[in-house]
Amino acid sequence: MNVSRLVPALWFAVALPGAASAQSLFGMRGMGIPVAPVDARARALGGMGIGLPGLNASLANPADVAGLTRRGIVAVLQPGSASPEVAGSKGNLNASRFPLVRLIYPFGRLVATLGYGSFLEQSWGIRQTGVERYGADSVDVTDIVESTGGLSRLALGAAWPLSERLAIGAEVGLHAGVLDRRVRRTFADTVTGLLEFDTRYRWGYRGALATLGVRWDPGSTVRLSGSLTLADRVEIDGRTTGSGDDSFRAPFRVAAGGSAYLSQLWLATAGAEWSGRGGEAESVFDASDAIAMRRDAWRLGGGLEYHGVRSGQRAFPFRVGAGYQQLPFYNVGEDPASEWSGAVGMGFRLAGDEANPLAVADFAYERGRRTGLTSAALPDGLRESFWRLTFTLSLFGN
Amino acid sequence: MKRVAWLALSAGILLGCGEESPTDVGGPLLPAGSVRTFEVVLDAADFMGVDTSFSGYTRIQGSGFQVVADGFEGTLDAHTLARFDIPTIIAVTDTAGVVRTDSTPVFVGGRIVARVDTLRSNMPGTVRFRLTRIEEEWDPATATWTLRVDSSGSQLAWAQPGAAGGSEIAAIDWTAAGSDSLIIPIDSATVAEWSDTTTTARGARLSIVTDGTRVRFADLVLRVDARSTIRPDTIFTTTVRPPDPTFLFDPSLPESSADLVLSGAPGWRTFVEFREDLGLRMVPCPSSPGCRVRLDQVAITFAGLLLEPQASPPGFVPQDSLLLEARAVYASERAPLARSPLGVSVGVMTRQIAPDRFRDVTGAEAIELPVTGFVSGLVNSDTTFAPPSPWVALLPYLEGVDFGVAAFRPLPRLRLVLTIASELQLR
Repeated sequence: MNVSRLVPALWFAVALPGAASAQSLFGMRGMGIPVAPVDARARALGGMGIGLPGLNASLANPADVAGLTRRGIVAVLQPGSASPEVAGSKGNLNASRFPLVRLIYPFGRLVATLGYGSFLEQSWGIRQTGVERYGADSVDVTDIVESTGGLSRLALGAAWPLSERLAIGAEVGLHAGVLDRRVRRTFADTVTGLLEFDTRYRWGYRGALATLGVRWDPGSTVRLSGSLTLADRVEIDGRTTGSGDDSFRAPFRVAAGGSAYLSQLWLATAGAEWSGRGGEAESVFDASDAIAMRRDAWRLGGGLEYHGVRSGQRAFPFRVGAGYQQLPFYNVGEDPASEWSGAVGMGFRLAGDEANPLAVADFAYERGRRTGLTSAALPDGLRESFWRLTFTLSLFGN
Repeated sequence: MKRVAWLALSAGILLGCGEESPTDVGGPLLPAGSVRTFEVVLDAADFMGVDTSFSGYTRIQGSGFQVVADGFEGTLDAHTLARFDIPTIIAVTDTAGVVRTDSTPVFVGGRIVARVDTLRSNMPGTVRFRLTRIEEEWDPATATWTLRVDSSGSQLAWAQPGAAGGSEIAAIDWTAAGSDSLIIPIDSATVAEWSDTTTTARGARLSIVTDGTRVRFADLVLRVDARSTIRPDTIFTTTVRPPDPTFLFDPSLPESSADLVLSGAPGWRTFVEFREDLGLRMVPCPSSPGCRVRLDQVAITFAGLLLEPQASPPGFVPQDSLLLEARAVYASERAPLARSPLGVSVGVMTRQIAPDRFRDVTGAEAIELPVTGFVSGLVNSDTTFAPPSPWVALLPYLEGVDFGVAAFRPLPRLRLVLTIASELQLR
């Protein structure tokens, strides 16, 4: 396998679609909806991506890559669809995103990584029609509001095995991203001469982050893992006329998880993550008229992996898992939202061994539901069922 | 191995490249009034500096129509003048069917045929036309009611204003019923007089002598009958079109006006100067009580000048419906405003204005002339759509086709329809 030939292709694939559109209407609140930077294997096992044996390219814990001896790249693609329901009306959203790309490059026992992962997703789009009255006239209008972008994390990390059972890792990087909002209003041709309204706002995000992680194998069949992420305030830079500057206190994150082989064929894994700043819910933005709130939020998940299907050197693990997360953002007067999901998945380790594979393809299929944002105006709030596929392609060289 | 990798990659790319449409649900999740369209009407002092009107943009001689009037609206008199250059050679078809030229034709008479534009004329029923000779030297290109020649080096007055005083050729009563052509016979002696090209003291003056009328001619020709030695038994008719027909009228209008005057012949245009700092004007907005927003922070969805019609000068009410247009002006200090070149059209009315709007103006509604592109460019002057100057010229969409003028009160208002997206910030 010539990795150097495939690396440009993978980067090209990642860069091609740019920001995906219309991910979830829950992304309308605050800084958006959290998207974990994990791979398809982790998705199928409950979405935590921490403390997994073997190749674990998720960005949950920088220590988890310790012990890898091959250089390579991991890219994740995640198409999906959501069906939101608001005030008795149902719609549909389809989108794709690339939640994770990670380069892995061992230098002896030190494993260096460069990772790009999703963090908060703010892509959504709404079309609504109505009648606008102005002066003595009225006209039918169609408004389209589209938001594209979000906050990602870009981090340079390293993992170091202190012993055969204990490894540590660290990452430093940035929270960065761009958000574009476009608002269009078109007027029915019953009134002539009205120009279409089309305005665009753009903001840029930037803030520092650092993660420390530790991985401990207390026994040959058990792995425990934990990490702590500290984040600086994310500066929000308005880049167009009318888009104001602000800032956002990025949450601290504490993640812990582990896995254990129940038998030679069955692996069980579970994890939990807390993100927040502690204390009461607080306003997301500094603006005096801010209405978005953020709470501390938990994410939980777990799953089982079955290793009984093999063909020569090739292994085809089957996975099943479930996850739950509290969505951190909501508006004043609304109740917070949450999400649960169930997943199945499969892996294709095409070459190499479990600890240091040469080529692995994984996919996961999830179905889930998000509910919340109930308020006096919307007693049923927003309900959104969704499915998503996650594909991971991991390629390594010698 | 590579094949598998590329297949997976390709599938990923295909799945990832879909463009999706926004959903039709979710509107209730947006803050109420996220996008608002509202109306603001600005008084003249809030958006403009100066307005003024000038005439002389079209020539009577090139207008393509002629006018006669007799005390129309108690004031207007107008006469049509024409000089015919009668040919000395005519084409004759002989008995063999061959077309030949005859340089010695004998003119035996003729007739003036004037096509009356009945839809653009003001006449109650039967009217009387009178055709007289012009017996003074005159210049069709410059003649006015009082001057038979009005060139830069020479100004010669008519013996009687309006080219009156010539001997009568014919007078005829005419009714529009059944025909739109006014036919006035001409005798052979008159044709012979008009054939003398050695003098410019020749021509015809057509007038109307029915009080309170104004008639517009769409065409005016002389048809002369001639005999030829080639076929003596046959009358040959030749149509002679005057090279420079004109009409004189009294009273005349001034060359400029503080009122807003448009159209007419010679043509009028109005110039309106907008405030260059229009984008900084604060206007009320609907977001909250007491809300005010700068014009350059909202989108101009529509802008229209509200022109209030007023009575046209007596005798000069428009002959037909008209459309008005607004055009950008390349105004500069190097040329008088009246002679500044015009730029692109920045707005055209969508509905025609009936002539009656300038006759009975009691309680008349304002007429709106769109200037959306101009105002939008002026407010957002850093864009490529910025107009060349803060001046805009108002003129008829078709210039020089109407004798009457459209008049409006000075200091028009500006109606703005604005759209603002005030609730889509990160907050």
